[in-house]
Formats: sequence, structure tokens, C-alpha cells
Amino acid sequence: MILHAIELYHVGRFRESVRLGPFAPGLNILSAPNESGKSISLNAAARALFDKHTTKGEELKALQPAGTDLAPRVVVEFETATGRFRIDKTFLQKPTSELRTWQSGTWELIAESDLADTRMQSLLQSTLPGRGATKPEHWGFLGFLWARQGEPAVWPGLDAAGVGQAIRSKLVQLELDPVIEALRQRLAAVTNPILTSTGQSRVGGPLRTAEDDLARIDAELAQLRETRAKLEDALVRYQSASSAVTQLEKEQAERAEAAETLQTQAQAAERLRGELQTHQHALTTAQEKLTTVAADSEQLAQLRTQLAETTAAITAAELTATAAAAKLTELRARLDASQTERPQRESALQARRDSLNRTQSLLRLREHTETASVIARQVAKAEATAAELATLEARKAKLADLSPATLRKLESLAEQTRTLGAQLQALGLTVELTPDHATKIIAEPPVTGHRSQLSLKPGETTTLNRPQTLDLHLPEWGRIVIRSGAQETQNVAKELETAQTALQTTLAKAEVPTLEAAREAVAERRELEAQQKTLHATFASQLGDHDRVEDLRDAAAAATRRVETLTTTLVPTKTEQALSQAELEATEAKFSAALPAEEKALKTFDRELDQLRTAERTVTQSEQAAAKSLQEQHSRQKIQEAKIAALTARYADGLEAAKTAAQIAFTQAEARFEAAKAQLPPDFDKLPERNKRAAASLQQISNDIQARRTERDQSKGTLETLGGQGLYSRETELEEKKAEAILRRDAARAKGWATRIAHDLIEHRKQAATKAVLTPLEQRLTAAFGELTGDATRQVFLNEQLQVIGIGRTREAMHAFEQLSQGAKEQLLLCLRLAVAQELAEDEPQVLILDDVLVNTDSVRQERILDVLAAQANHLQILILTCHPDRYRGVGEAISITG
Amino acid sequence: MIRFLHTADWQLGARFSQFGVKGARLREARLDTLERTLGLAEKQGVDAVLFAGDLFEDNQVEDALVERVVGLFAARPELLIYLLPGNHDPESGPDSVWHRKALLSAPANVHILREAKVVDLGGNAFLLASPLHQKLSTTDPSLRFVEMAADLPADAIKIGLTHGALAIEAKHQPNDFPIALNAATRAGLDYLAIGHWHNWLPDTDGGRIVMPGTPEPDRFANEHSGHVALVEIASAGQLPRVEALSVATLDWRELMFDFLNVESSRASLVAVLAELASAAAQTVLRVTLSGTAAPDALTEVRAWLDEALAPFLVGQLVDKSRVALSPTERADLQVRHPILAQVLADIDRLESFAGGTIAISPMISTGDETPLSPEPVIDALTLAQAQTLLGGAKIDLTQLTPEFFAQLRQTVFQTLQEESA
Repeated sequence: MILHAIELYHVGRFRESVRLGPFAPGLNILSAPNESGKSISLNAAARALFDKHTTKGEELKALQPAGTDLAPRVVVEFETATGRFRIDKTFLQKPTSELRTWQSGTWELIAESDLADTRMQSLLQSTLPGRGATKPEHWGFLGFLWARQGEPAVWPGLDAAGVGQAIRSKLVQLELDPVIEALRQRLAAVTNPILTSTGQSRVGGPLRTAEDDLARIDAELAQLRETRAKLEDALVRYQSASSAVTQLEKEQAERAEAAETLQTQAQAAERLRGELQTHQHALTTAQEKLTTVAADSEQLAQLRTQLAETTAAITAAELTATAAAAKLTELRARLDASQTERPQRESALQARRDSLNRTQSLLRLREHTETASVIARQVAKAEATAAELATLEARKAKLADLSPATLRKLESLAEQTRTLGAQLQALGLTVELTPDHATKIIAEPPVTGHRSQLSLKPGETTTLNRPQTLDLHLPEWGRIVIRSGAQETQNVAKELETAQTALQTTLAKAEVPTLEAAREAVAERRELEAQQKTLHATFASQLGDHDRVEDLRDAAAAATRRVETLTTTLVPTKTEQALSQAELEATEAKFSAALPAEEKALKTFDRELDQLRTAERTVTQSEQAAAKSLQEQHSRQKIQEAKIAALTARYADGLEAAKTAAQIAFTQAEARFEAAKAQLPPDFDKLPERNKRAAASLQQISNDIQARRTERDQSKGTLETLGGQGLYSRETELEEKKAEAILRRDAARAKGWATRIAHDLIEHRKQAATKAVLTPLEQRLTAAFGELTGDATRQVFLNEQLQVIGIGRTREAMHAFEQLSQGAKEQLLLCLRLAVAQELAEDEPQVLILDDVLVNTDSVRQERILDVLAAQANHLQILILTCHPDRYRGVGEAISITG
Repeated sequence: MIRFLHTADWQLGARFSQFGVKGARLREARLDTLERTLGLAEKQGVDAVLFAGDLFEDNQVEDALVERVVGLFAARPELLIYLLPGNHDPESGPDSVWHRKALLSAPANVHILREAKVVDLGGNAFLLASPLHQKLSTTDPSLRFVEMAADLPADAIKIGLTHGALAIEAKHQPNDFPIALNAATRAGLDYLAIGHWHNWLPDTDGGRIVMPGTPEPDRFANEHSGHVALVEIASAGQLPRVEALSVATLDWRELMFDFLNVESSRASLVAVLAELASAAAQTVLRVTLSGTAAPDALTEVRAWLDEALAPFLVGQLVDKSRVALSPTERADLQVRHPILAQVLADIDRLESFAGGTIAISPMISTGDETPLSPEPVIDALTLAQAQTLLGGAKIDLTQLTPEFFAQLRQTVFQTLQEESA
């Protein structure tokens, strides 16, 4: 197909009608600025050529002028091998479609509406999508020959049936066997319902259905088999339980018989045991009786012996009691006498003590009195010393507080002053005055800072030294000022002044007028301090143990009080007072020596008295014990006599007779017992336990039987329940269905695989065949690309789908298409499109549309491309849309959009 | 004298998986045969019908089947029926078919021999029964007959009834209830009725042990089945007179069609099919195709047979044929459809990869013509290509059988034919 003209109404920016064309058969250049409507015009033409007039997609709405709901109308005049046509379509609002053909100089309507759309498809070999607007892949050959704006490197591929295959066949001169292609499609049609493209069974297909059926049947069979397995288990359990029940019942019967025998034996043995017990009881009774009689006899003998002993004991006790009473009387008499003598002795001793105490007290009084006197004297001394210390302290306080260090400083300053004065004098003014008459002058400054009036004797020279200035006042004469100009003198004078000032300041601070005074003050202070030290030592010795004089006074007062107290207490007589210290001491010694002997004698007396008392108590106790013993013996005697009487009363015939009778009874009972014992069977004592064990065994077996019966019955129930479900028949039905399902599955699978393999093998061979003829096409494209780029060394490589896969010197070292620059891609596809267009043009004129492509191509290559396009324009209609008119000056037919 | 029918191995409810859901038809046919056999017994006026085991295929057959069988027995109340549990339906306990309600309440003419016992058949004839209680055993079930028979009068007719394999050397399994070959004479029996094997076997132990076989064939190889034994014993010690009565309902037939001789095969088959046509509803038929032929020939014969087999109760077509091209056909194919020729060569290669025996393309050998050597294939399919191709469809090469490749070739040709049509 080639285009002749395009008319637009209400399309894009064209609210009114515009026309593009007429298009020349060869190269056409439609250049206009961006957004001028170039591309939308061609897009609108595509809609008119390929879309149904009733399409209402966004692509159609995009044709409407912005902000309006105007119905776009597009008219395209085109030509195919079958003639020249004009399609007129209105979209969206009241859509229409009219197809006309040029006949006899007029446009004759040949189809309208849907028919027109259908005729267009047939004319252009285009297709329609399921819904919505068409896309380039539906546009027949034009889909391959139109490099759209923004998509210059997009190549639809040639796999699709119809147009794609037609182009393939043209490009590679491959004579595709239509029968084989049809065979391939038919095989695909058979495969598709069975298998997916990945070889899985297709849902809803015969294979999947058979597989699902099989799975379902297998699941049911598994469940059935599980039930059968339960049945088998139940059968095993039933058989085992039945066998066990039989075995246990047999054992139960055997054990029951044995238990019965054992029970009989046990009963017989029990009876014999009873008899034996009776005899044993009788034997025991006889033995007890015999023992009792023997014991009584023995006891009687003992009692009689005891009675005799008791009687003897009574006699002895009476004698002892009598002796004890006599002794007691004697002791009491002696004790009374001693107790009377005791107080007398004690009084004498006490008197002796009192004398000694008084004497000692008198001696203490004398001592206290002496002590108080001593302390008083000490107090006086201490007070004097304290007063003296205070005096020294007062004197010291009056002295200037001048430390030796300050004194040294004063001396230093004085020395410094002297030295400076000497210097100054050496340096300063020396004025000698020798008056003729006695006179008085006043010299300033004075040496000591006071106005100095000097009396001068006639003829005597008086030397005055001054540092710098000397101001003399001569009576009745006037004043004379003498100044020195020496700097050094000035300096020394300043220093001297400074030293003098410092000296005066320090003296003032120390509160002494002069240095001598300072020395004296320091010397006096030192002396006072030495005196203080000596007095402090004396004071301390006077205070003794006391810290202060007050304490000493207190001690003196205390001593005085003691003396007074003791005097008041003793009230010494005159005689006593007259006694001398020695006399008192002698008396005290005498008493002290005598007192211990007297005390010792009293103690001895007391000991003897205690012994008497003790003896008296002992004898008293003895007497009481004797009386008590006698009483006890009397009681014992009575008891013994009573026992003997009771004992002898129990045996009417006498104890010996009773003993003999008991011995005879015992012997007889023993004989009967032994006879009965001999009748018992061996192990008779184990029979009850054995009987019990047998009963327990029977019970156990009974329990086991019950349990196994229960198990058997349960298993039986299960068997009856499961056995009645007809599992085998159900399984049979399922197995037969499964066999059929397997056959269906295998058949479907085999069919699917067979058709799939056959299809794929055909495809494989087709591609192999295609590949065999690729080389010429590659060479052709390589030449075209070389012509475009000026580089003939690079080859173009294609794959079996006739897609450009890359360029390079070899296939192995090529640059993949995707990695090429945009310009290279555009150029490669231009070559391919040109090749396609050339081939198609052999059957029918073709248009190649290049919408704003080659924008990434440099100017040099652009020229080459134009050369190629110009050459191709002899065989093709080429329509170039561009916004770079400069690139296409002088090229082809200029097309404009006219309104 | 006593006359009785001796049968065994009915195996009612048996499975026929090889026929799919059509197996139900065969099971139904057995019940028809049973009904007819009972009618035959009544007609013969026998004193009893002895079932020597395996009346049922399994202890877990459905109740409906049991009830139908009991119903058939109940419909002839004058006929004394003795049922012995076999190894397929042993008296194994509560799960056994003999404990189904229908059999527990079976009519008076039906006697189920659940335990070993002696039954007075009347007329001084006694039945000694030794039923089976499990599926397998190394014990001879006829051993107890010695003791059982010892207590019977010497002049009584003694008929043994049990189930097991005759202890024929190399023909039985040790744990398959081996019955001594002299079991009847050993126990002093006049006749020992046994069951287990499915073919008629009458002359063991001097003719006193009879295995009647299954009354209804259950496979194509059972030529000697389909009978019951009509037995007559005049008196104690006399040799029994045994007659085989044919009772089978179904006829099992296996036919061949060899493409090597298409015309004769077809003629032969047509004749047999015509012969069997009247009894098609009672015929189990299998036709096996073999040999090689051209695609259209194969298609045509298959289509013909599919139609011809439809009327039969079970019509099974086993196709072992293979498609092949004549040299002329191959050459023509090469010219007209070179890609297809290559595809066929590729199929040959695939088959060889899959372990098939085809290294050259299959040819139709037409008598004295020498098969042409194969056309060399340019760019023969490599194993890698084959694996890639099959891998895309997740087809495992090792799973492809020669039958599959035959089908594959057939598919190609058939599709081609359809397309060309």
C-alpha cells in the first residue's frame, strides 16, 4: 500500500479540516515544528486504515481536539495492488465508515460501516484485537514499515502467522510448506487442550481430567486399603484373642480342679488343727496348775523363814532404841551448859576490840590535824608565788611587744642609716664654722629632724655635715643656704631618708622610741620570762598533786573538816588528849597483839559447842530410826503371818497333796496333745496359703479370660462391621475404574506428547531451514548497513526469528543489539525495514514511514542515509516526518499540512 | 446310589481390571451361569450340589452379591446345597462372608460347612467336609478324612469335600493346601470333591479325586474351564461315574490380524467375526494387530475393527502394529514435504536415543523387494537437541517406549492425512 493523501477533520490541534498531500510515489518530507500535528496526522490515518469505526478507545479519544467532544473524522486515500481507494471514517460521535474506489474518474462507494471496515482489513491484510483499538502488530505490513515517533528501534518480529510469515518467506526466500505449517498448527491445536506450553497437563483437558480421576480413585483405594488393613488387624486380634480365651479356659478348668482338691485338704487339716488346739489348751492349763502349786509351796517355805527373821529383828531393834535414848539424855545436858557459857566469853572479846578501835581513832585524829596544817602552809606559799607571777606578768605586759626578730630588723635599719649617713657625710656638705664670737645659730635640716640651734664658741670649729642642703640662720645676719649638686649625694640622701623613715616606722610599730629602748625592752622581757619560768617550777611543786591554788585550798578545807568530824565523834578526854603520840601507839600495839588470841579461844569454844549439837542430832536420829525400825518389823511380822494363813487356807487337803494331783494331770494332758499332733499331715501349716494362692490364680485367670473375651468380642464387632462393608467389591469397582483412567491418562498423555513432539520437531526443522537461508539476508543487511555507515567491516547477524541480534566482525565477538547506541539501532532497523519493503514492493507498492527517526544520527551518516533513501525512493514510497527541515533540504517532495 | 453335582471356584465378585468398567458385565455373567447351573442340577434330579470352595472371590464381597446368591439358592428349595469355605472365602471368623446376615439366615436347603464335620446325606451316604479357615497353609486339608471316615460304617458311601492344590510335583506351592494325590483312597473315600485350580482335572487317584475347574472362564488361556461335574456313585467302593457338563455363559476368544498378510488376515477375521456375531453379547473378544503398514492402511483397519468389536460384550483391540513407508512413499515425502521427512528421521533418532532398536527408518518390506537404505539426514538431531526439545515439554526420553514412537509416527501421518483431506 502507498498513501496519496490524508484529510483530517476535528483531529488534534486541527479544529477545522486540514489536508496532507498529495504524497509523491518516492521520497516525501513532511517537516514542521514540534507539536505541529505531524505524528497525530499519521496516527489518525492509521486509525482510519485499521480500526473499526465503532472503536472507542483512548487512542481514538486522543484524536479529539483538546477540551472538545468533537468527532474526529479522517479520510485517507491510498493505493494497493488491487486499486486506489478512499476510506472515510468518523469516530466516537455518530461513527461512520465509507470505502470508495476510484472508478472512471469518480469515487464510488463500495462499502459502508462494518463492511467497509472488513474490506479494509482484507485489503491491508490487517487484523483486529479482541477489544479496543488496534496496535501496530495488527496493521499488516505497515506495522513493520512504520518507524513510529519515539519507537524507532522497535521491531515487531516475524513469528506471527500471516504477515510475519509472509515477510519471513520473502526475506529468506524460504518456501514454507503450507501443508507442514498447517500440520504444525493442527498438531498445536491437538496438543493445546492436553498440555500447556510447559508440558504440564492442562486444566480441564483430558489428561488432567484422567490424572484427577486417578488421584481421586487412588485416594479412595488408599482409604479402602486402610480399612482392609484394619480388618486384617482386627482379624489377627480376634484370632489371637480367641486362641487365648480357649487356652485360658482350659487352664482355668485345670486350676479349678486343683483348687478344689487343695481346699478339701485344707479343710481336713483345719479340723485336725482344731483338735490339736483343744489338747494344747488342756495341756497348758495342767501345766499352769502344776506350776502354781509348786510356786505356792515354795512361797510358803519362804514366808516361814522370813517370819523367823522378822521376829529376831524386832528383838534387836528394841535393844538399839533403849541405848539411843540414854545417850541422848547425856548429850543434851552437856549442850545446855555450853550454851550458857558462850555469851560471857563473847562479851569479853568485844570489849577488847572496842578499846583497840578507840586508840586507833585517836591516832588518826592526830594525823589528820597534822595534814591540815601542812596543807595550809602550802596554800600560803602557793598564793605568794602566784602573786609574784602575776607581778612579773604585769611588768612584762608593759614592755613593748618586741620580738628578737624585730630588734634585729631595727638594728639593721639603724646600721643602714648610719652607713648611709656616713656615706652622705662623706659625699654631702661639710661645713666648718669657726665663729669669732660666741653665737647661736640655727641649722636646718637638723640631724635628728628637729630644728637645731647650735651654740658656737669663738674660735672653735664646729663641723656641720649635711647631705645636700644646709640652711643656716645667723642671728642678726640672716640666712645662708648651702646646696650640693652631686647626684650620688642625692641618691644616698634619698636612700638615707628611706632608711630613716623605715627605721622610724618600725620603731613606731614596736612602740619604742629608740633602738636602745628596743634593746632594753627585749632584754628586760627576756629576764622577766626567765624569772617566770623559775617561779612556775616553784609554784608547781607547791601545788603538788593539784593543778591550781583553788584545788589546794579545797584540799586544805577538806582536811580541816575531817579533823573536826573525828574530834566530834571521839570526844577525846583530857587524859587522852594528854597522851603523847608514842603512848597512844604503844597502847594500840598492846591491844592489837592480845586480840587474836582471845578470838581464837572463842572460836575453839564454838567448835566444841557445834560438835555437841551435832552429836545430839545424830543420837536423836538414831533413836528415831530404831523406833521406826521396830515398828516396821512389827508390821512385817503381821503381814507374813497373814500370807502364811492365806496360803495354807487355799489348799484344803494340804499343799503337798495338791502338788501331787497337779503333776498327774499334767502328764496326762501332755500325752493327749502329742497323740493329736501326730495325726496332722505334713506341711499342713502351708495349706491355707496355698489355698489362698489357688483362689487368687483362679481369679486372675478369670479376669484374663474376661479381658480377652472383651477383646475378642470387640474385634468380632469390628470384623462384622467392616466385613459387611463389601470392601473387596468396592475395591474391585475402583480398580476397574482406575484401569480405565490409566488407559485414558496414558492415551491422552501419549497423544499430547506425540503431537507436541511432532509439533516441536517441525518447528525445529523450520527454524533450521530458516537458519540455512539466513546468511544471504545477513549479507544483504551487512551491505546496506555498510553503505549507511561507511563501515563495511562490521557484519549484521540475525537469529532464526529474523531478529537483529547484533553487529561485529564475527558472530562470536559481536555487539549485541541491545547494547548498541540508539543511532546504530535506528540505522540497523532502517536497513531491515528497507529490505522488507523492497521485498514486499515486488508484489505491491509499499510505503515506508519514518517518523522523526534518525535524530541520533550524525550529519555524515545522515548524508549517507539520504543517499540510500533517495535510491530506494525509486522503488518505494518513503514518507519522512521531521522537525529538522535543514537536514532534508533539497530532498524529495516537501509535504505540508494545508488547512 | 447317590447323584450330585460337584463344582467349585465360582469366585463370584471377581475383578477384571484389564477390561475396566466392563468387568461388571463379566461378573454378572457368572451369576447367570450359577442360575443356569442350579437349573441344570434340578433338571438332573441330583441329590445335592456340592460347592468345593471359593464360591466367593473374597470374604469382603458386597452384601448385595451374597443376597443375590442366597436368593438363587432359595429359589430352588428342593435342591440341597452344600457350601464349603475355600482359600478365597475361608471361614476365618466374624469377617468371613459366611457370617453375613444373608448366609447366617440362609434357607434350610443351604448348608454351610463352617467346621469339619460329617453330614448324613441319606441313602447311606455321608459327606465328610474339611473347610478352610485361612488363605494359606502347608497342611493337607484331606488328612482329617482318615479319622472322620474311620467312624463311619464300612458300607456307607463316603464323599469327601475340601479345597486345595493337588500335590503334583513342580505344579503346586507347599503352602497352598497341598492335597495328597491318594487322598481319597488313603481315607477310604469313594469320591473326593475338591476345588482350587480353574481347569477341568478329573483323573486323579484312580478317578476318585476330581477338580472340576471354574465353571466360567476368567482369562483367555483357560481352555479347559467352564464345566461342572455330574457324579454318580452306585454304592460304597464303586468307582464314581463323572461327567463334565458345560455351563459357561461366556466365550473367550483371541484373534490375530497380521499386516504382513493383510488380505488373508482380514478375510479370516471377517469370517470369525461373522461366526461370533450371533453370540457377541456372550463373547469376550481380543484382537491383536501386528506387523507394519502404511499409515492409511493402519488407520483404516483400526477404524474397521473399532466398529466391528463394538457389539461384543468385551471387545479389546491390542495394537502392536507399526507404521512404515514404502521407498516410493518416502521419496515422495522427501520431495513434497522435506521438513516432514526430516521430522520422521528425527523421530527415528529420538527412538534410538530412547533405547529403541530403530537405527534406520522403518520400511515396508514388500516380499522380494530389498528395503532401501535410509536417506542420509542432513543435520541429524543430536542428543542435546533432543533433550532440549523434550525438556521444554517436560518429557522424559527414557519414558518413551517403542509403542509410543509407533503412535508418534502414526500421529504425524494421521494428522497429515487429515490436513490433506
